[in-house]
Order: sequence, then C-alpha cells, then structure tokens
Amino acid sequence: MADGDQQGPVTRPDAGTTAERVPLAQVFLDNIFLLLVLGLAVPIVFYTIWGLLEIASIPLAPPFELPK
Amino acid sequence: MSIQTLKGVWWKKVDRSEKLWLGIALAWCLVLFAMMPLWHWKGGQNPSFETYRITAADYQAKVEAYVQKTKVGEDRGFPVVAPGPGEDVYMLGRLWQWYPVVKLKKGETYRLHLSSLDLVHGFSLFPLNLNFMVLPGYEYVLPITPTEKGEVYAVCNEFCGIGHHQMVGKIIVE
Repeated sequence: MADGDQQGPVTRPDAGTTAERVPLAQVFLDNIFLLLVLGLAVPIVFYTIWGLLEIASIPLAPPFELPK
Repeated sequence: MSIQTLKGVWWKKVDRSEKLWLGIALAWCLVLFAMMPLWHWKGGQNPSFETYRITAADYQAKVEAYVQKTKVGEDRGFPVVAPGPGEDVYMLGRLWQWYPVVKLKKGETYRLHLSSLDLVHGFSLFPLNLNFMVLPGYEYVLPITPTEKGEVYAVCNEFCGIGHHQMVGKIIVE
C-alpha cells in the first residue's frame, strides 16, 4: 500500500500535541466486542428477523371447495 | 485483533490492486445473484408457487374429501384421481407415500396443491428436473402444465426415515 494514502493527523495548536482521527473501520477492528456485536446483529436482522417476518406474513389457506 | 491494540492510526486506504480483486469478487457475486432469477425463469427447476398456512389434520381432511369426490380408479391400492382441465388437484406427502395417484391431460394447466402430514418431504419429479421442498403446516400451490404423455414419478428427495427410498408417487399424463 502507498504511504501517501494514509489519513493525515489533525493538529491541535493550542495543546501543542497531535490528535489523530481514527477511521470508523479501525474503531471496529480495534474492539473485539464491537466486532462481536456487529457479527451477531447483521445475521439476526437480515436472516432471523427477516425470516420470522416472512413466516408471519404467510396467509391462512382459503376455504376448500370441492370440484363440481 | 492482536493481543495489544496498535497505537495511533494504522488504517490505510485500500490499495489499487486490492480494489481490483475486491471488484472481481463483487462482480462474480453479482453474476451468481443474477443466476437465481435467471434459473427461476429459464431453468424451470424451482417453480413459482403460492404458500398458505394450514394444519396437517385440515389438509388431510381436504385431500380425503377431494379423493372421495374425484376418484376414477385404483393403482396398486392407491386411489387415482382425474381432475378436469384447469382445476385444482391435491396431493399429500406422508411416511412414506405421495397420495393419491394423479391422472392429468397433456397441455392443460392445473393448480397442484402439496403439503406434508408429518416431516419435511421433497417433491422431485422424475425423469423431469423439478425439485420442491414440502413442509408440514404449509399448503403449497404450484401451477403445472404437463408437456409430454407418459408416467412421471414423484420421488421424495428429503431424507425422511427408514422408508424414504420407497416414497414414490405417480402422475399419469394422457
């Protein structure tokens, strides 16, 4: 990877120190519990909850009529 | 995550070569995704169908009443039913049979109702290439149009116990 692609530091002149803006992807990758929550939430929403909504929306069978 | 979190910003933008490989993988995913509706419409293996909720007891009563009304004969101890063109036809799967035998006419379209009374069964038509999963508690309605005369066999393709291999139903097309 090219070093020039890295996000530059944000300098706070009043403090005389350098505060870095941490990208969102790094925030997740640096926290194993955030990754766990994300890894559970995505399949629960898109697989389990969506599936339960699909099942709940199936209508009852219409009344049966014998052929004449 | 390493044992100790790295200090500072270590995240870097994705390199061009990595973007290229991600792009190729994404494009292949989209091809496979497009194959699902394409196979649905062109392949004919997984037909469009309607689904309704019903208890096994209600469905069994429905099929028994239907068989009583439309029975035209017997085949190896199974009743044979012959629905009129465009009519609804009812079959059920149970350990270990597809019931009843159905007689259809070539070129006519029917609404085939399917359900299971006990376990998950598979409705697989041989020698055709149609596979359909049948769950208890649900009634499925498939529009079918036989295109060739002869006998086709409904083979269970979801393992359902010791008699699974004997679970073969019959559809006669005249």
